[in-house]
Order: sequence, then C-alpha cells, then structure tokens
Amino acid sequence: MIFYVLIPWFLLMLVVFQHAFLGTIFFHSIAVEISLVLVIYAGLRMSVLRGGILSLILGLMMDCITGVCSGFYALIYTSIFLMVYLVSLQVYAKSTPFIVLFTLCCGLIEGIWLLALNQMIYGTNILSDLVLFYLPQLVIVSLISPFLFKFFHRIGWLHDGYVRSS
Amino acid sequence: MSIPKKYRPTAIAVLVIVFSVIILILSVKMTSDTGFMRKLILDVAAPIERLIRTPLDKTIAVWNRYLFLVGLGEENRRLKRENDQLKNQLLRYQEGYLEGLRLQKLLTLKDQTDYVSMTARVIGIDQKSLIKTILINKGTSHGIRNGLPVMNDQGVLGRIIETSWHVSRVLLISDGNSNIDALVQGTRVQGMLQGSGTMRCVLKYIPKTEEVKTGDLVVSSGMTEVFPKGLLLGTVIRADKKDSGLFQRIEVVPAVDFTRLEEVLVLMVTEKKRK
Repeated sequence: MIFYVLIPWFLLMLVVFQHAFLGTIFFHSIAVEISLVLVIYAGLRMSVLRGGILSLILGLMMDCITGVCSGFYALIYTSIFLMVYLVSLQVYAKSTPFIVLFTLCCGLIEGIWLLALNQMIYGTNILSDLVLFYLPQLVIVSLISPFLFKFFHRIGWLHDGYVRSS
Repeated sequence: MSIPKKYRPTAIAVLVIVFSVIILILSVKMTSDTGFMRKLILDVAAPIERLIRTPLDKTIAVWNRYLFLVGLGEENRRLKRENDQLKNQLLRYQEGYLEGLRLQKLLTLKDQTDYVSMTARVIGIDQKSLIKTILINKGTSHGIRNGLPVMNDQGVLGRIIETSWHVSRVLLISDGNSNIDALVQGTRVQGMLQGSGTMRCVLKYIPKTEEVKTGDLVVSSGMTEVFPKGLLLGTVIRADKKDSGLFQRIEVVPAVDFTRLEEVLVLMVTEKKRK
C-alpha cells in the first residue's frame, strides 16, 4: 500500500530533480533522462502492476513538466515498459554490459517514438535534434544506468519485498 | 471472460498502454484549458523546482562570475601588454612625425638656397669640451670636405673642420675658434662674428660710430668663400659703446639652438644649383 501512496510524490520529485537539478548542473545542454532508466528498471525488476502504474504516472508527470500533451510520454514509457517486460521473460538481465546496452536500445526506441509522435501530433521533424542532442544524452544515460539500477534497488518500498530475478 | 494467469501480466501492461493511448487521443482532441491534474502537478512541482534551482543557479552564477573574473584578470594583463606595445608604437610614430616635420623644414630650406645641399644627421654633440663641435653622419664618401658651411632651418651652425669617409666634425659658430665675416642686416655694417666659448658670439670690429641696436639680425657677408652671403647667423642682444677703444662690444645670440640639433644641411658651396 505504501507504494501507491509514495509513488506519485517520488516520481514527481524524480522528474523535478531531473528537470531542474540535472538540467542546471549540465547548463541545460544535456538532459539526463533518469526516468527512462527507472522505466527499464521497472520492466526488468518490478511486478507488472507496479511497474505499469509507475510507468504511466511517470509518463504523465513528464508530460506535465515538459509541456507536451498528456499521454505523450505516458504512451512512450508504458510501451517501453511492456517491451522491457517481454524481454525480461527471455533473458538474464543482471549483467552490467547488458544493462548498458539494453538502456541504449530502449533509448533508441524512445527516440523513434519521439520522432513519430512529434511528426504525428505536432507535425514537426525533430530528426536533426535527435541526432545532435538526444543521442549523446542517451550514451551518457546508458553509461550511468548500472549505478541508477543499484540506487533504485536500494529503495525498498519500490519493490515491497518482491524483486523479479528474471 | 477470464484471462489465463500466464498472460495476465502482459494484459495489465497492454491495458496500461491502451489507457495511455486514450489519454493521448483525448488530450490531442480536446484543446481546452489545462486539465486539473496538470495544474495540480505544475503547482506542486514549481515551488520544488524553484527550491532546487535557486541555490543551484546562484552557485553557478558565482562560479561563472569567478570564471569571468579569472578571464578578466588575464584579459587585463593582455590589454596592459597591448597598451605598452601601442605606447611604444605611438612613440615611434610621433618620432617619425617630428622627424618628418624637421626634414620638411630642411627641404624647404634646401629649395630656397642656391647651392646644392646634403642632409645629414647629427650623431654626436660635444659642447662641453674646449672645442664646441658636433658630429654628422656624412663624410668624404658623400662629397663632404673641410670648410663647407652647415646650417639648419634656423640658421648657420658652423663649418666642417674634419672629415672621415662617413663622419664629419662641425665647428659651431659659438666656439672661440670660429670666425665668420658678417654684417648687420639693417645698417649693412660689416664685422667679424667670433664665438665666445659659451652659447654666445661677439660681433667684432664694428666702429662706435655705427648704430647697432638690440634685435638687429646678423647675417653672413659672403666676403670669404666659406659662407655664402645672407645666411642668418644670429641676433644682437647687446651693443655696448662704453668700452674703451675704437669698436663697440656687440653680443650676438646664434640663431641656432645648439641643444636641439638632429638633422642639418651641408651646403656644397662650390656646386651651384642648375635652375
């Protein structure tokens, strides 16, 4: 129960921290999207119900903070969550190289989603922005993802005693 | 209809996606005001964001200010160096300008004289010793020989008394050994202008019957081959008839300021200009 009470606040803090703190630290030139890593973590380690709700709320929070229409990031994150969940059923997902590469792959899928949704909803082509800004950011996020996994693993109430071992 | 337990997790995930899609479609279709939840989240997030961002921004501003100051110090040093270089450059240009002005005066003088002349630079001044002389950077290889008169735009300086290939010594008219046939411009009375050893000259052999007054100009008389006629030698500053004897004691201050000599003109008195 504690999960459902704390999760909105935790995610709100995470998104604000990601947006304000990391944005300022990196002079607003690099957006370190740790929310994506949390979604991947949820897909690999958490129960489906919790992970799904987490992805949905996180996506909605991102929609509010980034200013895109509601459901934009929610769709991206939930779809990534589903994909990660399906993958986690087939592979051993504990090694650090796997986490890094998997985060990179998921980031690329998010990039494709961003490209497609921007084109469909706003009619804008953000391919050049993706190549110039998003890909370098993605590399950074991928590299720090194992540390973030360890950090998320330490938050006990996030799992409530249940951790899938794949 | 119940979903098999095996597929329940996937079904939940798909359900969540469907929910997201519905929200997205509704959000795109409904272009009304910001929804309640968005407003709430924004209102909650804004103060937290401000709380995080304010100290961070201030820290970064301080850091940027520090970096700016470090850069400013370096820029200051660079500008000082540049300023010194420019000052030196300006000094050189000023020197060049002043030299140009002096040479222009000499050129004007060169045009005015009937004789072929040669510009020379003063390379040494020796006015403290017994013989008042200066050295110029032209010698026999340039056609200079002993006895040639030397002047500048102010008047006559003296004459060449010694020459080497590339340097010549000029005896100034203020030296005691210098004697020049001269005349007072106003009265046309002739005398001998002799250096007095100091920065003065004495005009000798002017009878007391002649009227010479302070301010009269003294010019070369042209009686000898050395100095052409009419060159300015100096100005009378004192004419005294009280001395015993036949002649007046007339003190003359040379037209040339010997303390500021840089370029001079040597008159090649044997070579007249072809007009």
